[in-house]
Amino acid sequence: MKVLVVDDSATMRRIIVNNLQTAGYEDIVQAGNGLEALSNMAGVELILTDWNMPVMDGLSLVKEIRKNPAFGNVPIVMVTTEGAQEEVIEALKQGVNDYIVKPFSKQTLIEKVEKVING
Amino acid sequence: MGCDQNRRCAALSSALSQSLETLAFVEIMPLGEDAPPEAELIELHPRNEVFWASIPLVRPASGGLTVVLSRELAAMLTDQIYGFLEEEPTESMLLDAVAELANVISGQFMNNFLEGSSSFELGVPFKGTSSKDSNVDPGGTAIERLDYAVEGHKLTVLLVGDGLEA
Ligand SMILES: [Mg+2]
Repeated sequence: MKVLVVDDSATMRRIIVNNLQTAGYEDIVQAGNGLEALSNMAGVELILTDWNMPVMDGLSLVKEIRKNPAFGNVPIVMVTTEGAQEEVIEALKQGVNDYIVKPFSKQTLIEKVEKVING
Repeated sequence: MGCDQNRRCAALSSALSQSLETLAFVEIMPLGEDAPPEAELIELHPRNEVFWASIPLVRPASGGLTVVLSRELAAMLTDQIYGFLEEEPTESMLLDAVAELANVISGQFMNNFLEGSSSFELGVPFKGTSSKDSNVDPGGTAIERLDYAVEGHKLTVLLVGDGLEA
């Protein structure tokens, strides 16, 4: 399964990639913002994206993906610092499948990933 | 730590321990009045090369949160966060890790302080190195300053801002 990890922090991308790799996900591509993500969508079957990023933020990325039929119904997990109820609701409304607040444990990340893949 | 009835201090203190424990798998000990004796020794070591990162708080409060630590602690935390570093971390890797740590602490602090009741906005991190602690400018007078011992090194968090009344 090809996974796209989007975050402006190289450190956070590395944390997410490490967690995914130890859970057996090997085919991973990375992007530093939403715009970069859009040009790396080929064959992607799961997206984990940050919200707060320069150039194009995570919510704008989700909107772009959801309005483009070429990307299909690829599952999206938002991984972000903003944990307020209204933010979560807004993200889900725009088409995010699940939501993780930083800092997260490896277990939480993998559980959410498996939930959206299977679900 | 010694936050007494100060809600803001408690929100910051727990954001710090949650973030460091989850991201870097380290426990932190307060320095100062409530410090255990082994932690108090650490404060005696001067930090002659510090790494710092500041996260602007944009909404609903305005201000910033700054994390200051030594090069040694930055390297140790980066190694912990990255899991298995085969190569010697570069300065930009260390700064990126400190900035992300500050970002996660800031988010967690706002979630704790606002109790998830309202949304907030953080800015893009500023980061850098400095020859000494006192040269790091948190962008104003700190309304909260917490010093911790982390694996034998000192870590400082400074909070500056309006709209963050305790
Ligand atoms: Mg970000």
